[in-house]
Amino acid sequence: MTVKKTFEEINEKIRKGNAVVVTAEELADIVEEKGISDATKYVDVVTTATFGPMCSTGAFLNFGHSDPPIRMEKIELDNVSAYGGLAAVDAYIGAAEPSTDRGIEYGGAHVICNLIDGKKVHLKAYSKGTDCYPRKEIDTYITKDSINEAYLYNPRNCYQNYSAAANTSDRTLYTYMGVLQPGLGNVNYSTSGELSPLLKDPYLRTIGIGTRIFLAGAEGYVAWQGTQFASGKPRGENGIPLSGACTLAVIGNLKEMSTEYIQPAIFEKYGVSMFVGIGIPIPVLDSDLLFNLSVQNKDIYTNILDYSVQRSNKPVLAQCSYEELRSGFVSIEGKKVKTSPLTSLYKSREIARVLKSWVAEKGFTLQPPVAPFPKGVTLKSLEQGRL
Amino acid sequence: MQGCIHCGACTAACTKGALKMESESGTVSCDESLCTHCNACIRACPARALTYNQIRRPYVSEKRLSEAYEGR
Repeated sequence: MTVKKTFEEINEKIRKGNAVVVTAEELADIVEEKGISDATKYVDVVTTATFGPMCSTGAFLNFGHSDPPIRMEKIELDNVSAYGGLAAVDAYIGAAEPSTDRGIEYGGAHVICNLIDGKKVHLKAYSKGTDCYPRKEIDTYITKDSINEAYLYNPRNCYQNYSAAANTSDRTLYTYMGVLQPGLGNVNYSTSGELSPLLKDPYLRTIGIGTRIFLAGAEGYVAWQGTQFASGKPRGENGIPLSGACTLAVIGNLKEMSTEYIQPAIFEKYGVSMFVGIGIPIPVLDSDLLFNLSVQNKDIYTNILDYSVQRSNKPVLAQCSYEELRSGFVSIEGKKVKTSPLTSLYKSREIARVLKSWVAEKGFTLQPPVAPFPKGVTLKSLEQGRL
Repeated sequence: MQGCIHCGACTAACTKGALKMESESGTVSCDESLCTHCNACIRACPARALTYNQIRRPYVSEKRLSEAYEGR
């Protein structure tokens, strides 16, 4: 008999405290023991997680009005420029923005984390002055408690898959994918593999606008499809895209977050980024979804790209599974090449466990998508001089 | 290492094989006998969890340190 469950049935179990919740890694053993059909009956929710560097991260802040008021045009937080082309005291601070005094050693990601930790942040703002906002300059300090709103809004996080990186040139490359040694010296990869949220629900049946998630230690939401969302990328037989595909825009209250689950990242000779912890609980609606949830690293593949080719379309050197990547070595054209991750499996596992406890013990119910994401989306490129 | 999030980026910078990712635990480990103190890992650590002293102390055995001092 075919097993079907609804969000509401699963939420009712969560409210009563008798939902069966497991992490995506724990599911593998259950499926091996019970098989797909019985595991579908038994498991209600599978938690997934990632803790990887995600440059497209930032926060909206509202500072409150000074007296006399100022319409902030140029804004600096600890000497990191924030975008002020909004209403008078609204700003957006991007994680990847470097400071004017310390460069990439201190950037927007550090400002965001200092705010989360309750530390004082130095605010300087400038304006030309208007009749309604006469003040031209302010120099003060803020904390997360002294300002009105502070919420993380990340335009692109949680990549569904991501191509690994290597370097066939004769010089070391310093990239957002970390240090790439010359002569195919190493391969770097950046997903949590079988724990990664969008790899476990590859067609995004349960993830859409409004999905409630774990975001940096707080409750967050999927706000929209992420930028560079590409649901039309080629997929393997198990439905999983073979390269970067779908992404999420996520939102959550910065004031409730913890720097245990969001941290600055500095990439040598590249810039500032941010490790963002995201966990998504996926309801087991039927055996198709359970099958997707049970796919393991050995059946999740990605391409290895040559970053020495300085073009947007980089050549594919090889294709490999996450099991191979995690083993420490892959084979490229007969050469044994060392692999290194950039997404912390250790932290991803911790997030999956924390989210499991939220759902199983704290009544964290699952929000069905308010609207689904579009299918078959392909990426556009930017062309020089084209109308 | 305080502040280490075990992302593994340092293992990419280490050309001596001293730093490696443990595939089961997902944590970074160090074979201090292979460390040559090139400091590449310090520069490559995105979390800035590694410092010169940490590389010198935990990763270098007391025996090797004393040998180094005797040699000066």
